[in-house]
Amino acid sequence: MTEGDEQHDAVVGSKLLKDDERWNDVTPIYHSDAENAVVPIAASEEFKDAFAYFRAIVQKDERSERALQLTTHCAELNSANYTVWQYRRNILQSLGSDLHQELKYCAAIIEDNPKNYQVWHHRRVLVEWTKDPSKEIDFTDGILRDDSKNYHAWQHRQWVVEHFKLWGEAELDYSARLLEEDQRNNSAWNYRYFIISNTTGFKGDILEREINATLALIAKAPHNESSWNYLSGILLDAGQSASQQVVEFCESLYSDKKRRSPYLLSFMVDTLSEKIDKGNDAKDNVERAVKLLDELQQIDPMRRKYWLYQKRSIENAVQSKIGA
Amino acid sequence: MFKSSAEGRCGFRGSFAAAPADQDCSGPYDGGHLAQTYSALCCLLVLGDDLSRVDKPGIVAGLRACQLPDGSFCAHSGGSENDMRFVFCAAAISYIIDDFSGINIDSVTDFIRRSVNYDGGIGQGPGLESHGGSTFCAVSTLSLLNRLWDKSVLSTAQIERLRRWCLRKQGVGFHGRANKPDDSCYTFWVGASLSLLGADAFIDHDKLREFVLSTQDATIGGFSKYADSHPDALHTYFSLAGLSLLHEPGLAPVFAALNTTARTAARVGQIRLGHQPP
Repeated sequence: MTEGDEQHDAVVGSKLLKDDERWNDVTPIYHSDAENAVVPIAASEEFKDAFAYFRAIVQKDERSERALQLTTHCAELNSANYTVWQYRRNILQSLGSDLHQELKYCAAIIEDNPKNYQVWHHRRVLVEWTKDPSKEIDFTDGILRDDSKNYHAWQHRQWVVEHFKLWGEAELDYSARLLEEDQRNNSAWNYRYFIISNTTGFKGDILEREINATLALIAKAPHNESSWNYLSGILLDAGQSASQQVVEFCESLYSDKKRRSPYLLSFMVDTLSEKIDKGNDAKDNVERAVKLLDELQQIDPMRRKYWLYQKRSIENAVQSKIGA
Repeated sequence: MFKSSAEGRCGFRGSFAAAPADQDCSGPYDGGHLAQTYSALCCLLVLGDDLSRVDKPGIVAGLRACQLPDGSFCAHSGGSENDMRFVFCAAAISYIIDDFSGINIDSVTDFIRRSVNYDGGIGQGPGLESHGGSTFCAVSTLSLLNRLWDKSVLSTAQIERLRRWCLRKQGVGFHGRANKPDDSCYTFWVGASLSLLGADAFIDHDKLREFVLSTQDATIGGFSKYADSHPDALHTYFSLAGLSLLHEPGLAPVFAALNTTARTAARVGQIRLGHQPP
């Protein structure tokens, strides 16, 4: 490179392709008048240059080193252009490129663009090709350390675990560790449910263990929607009224006025509704449910209309039973 | 509009990034994209077009090419990620062109059923975390396919749990997942879901409105995801659409299932009946 080139590069960041003799054989396709007519994007010179050459080369579906480099350049300018990534994948296959190297590159792009769909999809395809999940757990760990709720990271991790059957204690421990750090991390609860429901299922000792662990966390933070959602979720099959331990825990929590969260009260209403539906001691249960729903309208005023609706629901159901 | 129907690549493009504007069927990377097709059709309806120049069989073939064995859709035949967003696009597209033959309905409804989560909400796919965006996409899809109330996909109990999941997403405004911060765009995603589920009466309208308006930029206008952030087109549109669902005066009524105004959605019916717009 001459001194002039270096200065040029320093100023514009990279050489324009129209000035690069290695691209002389390609006729760039700039925007037509039609494309410039309506809401044109204020693209930089470098952007217009790169994508004009991209558009030209992609017509021919050229699979070459220079095309690969062009996709790198274009991805840097717009990492959300899915055609760039699709073309890049085809080039990688044709050139027989080192996919482990590509995975490293992909990791760097994801770190810079962690909420971009295209780069996560690119990674997934690469892993499908290499059939090597060995880096994926650590990689998603890294992303989640920066943003413990990144949906793409969780989705990728769940896909890897399912696809390569990486179910096991390690993943369960991972969710437990995250919940220890922050029991309000709803993604971690979801992950826990995902692992268990796809392995042992929620029954027997496992169900008991999960109930115990969840109740312990609820006791520490009774106003956490995530833990209560998990509790009702894991009891969907068995039924909330099935666990005497859970029923007693709720009563105990309820006896402390300061810890009566709306989640506790609605959980108790649901347990009563279960009993009512089964015909158990209908009158007492109905009265208690109605009282709790009145209380809910007080302590969760944002949803007062909903709780009133729930109350009427129960009252109507009882009325129709009496009438029947 | 991309014309060749042979390879299932029909639909609308977002731009001509993969093909020059003045050429027809060019290159292996040129093709339609579900989100762009949905957007383009909505734009045409907004502009009062009668869609007579739209290649509907081509679009149907394009949809068919994008449905996967698990019932979900990817965005284009070149391959992409697949999730509830493109399920919605497929349903909305089919609804607008009045042709559902591009969708295997049993398969897509099965995907939705399996995406209902333990907490009653709906994720982007089976096992994925319940999310306001995917919940809207699933509920609106069922609505457009007329499968929301027939108990074929969601039982009455599931509908009730879904309503509660949605209502619990209200902090002051709505957030999209439990224990996440309120964000103005969920005014639509969650608000519209509740509207379709017949439970929007249970929203605290005043608080929600208060939140959305707090995200408005006092200097340049527009809405941001939260207060004192930067306004953008996405949050501005979804704040307005959400406010409209809350019956904010001065805003056109919204047809929640299609994510358009009611007037625009009505164009679909008018086209079906051969009416001319005034």
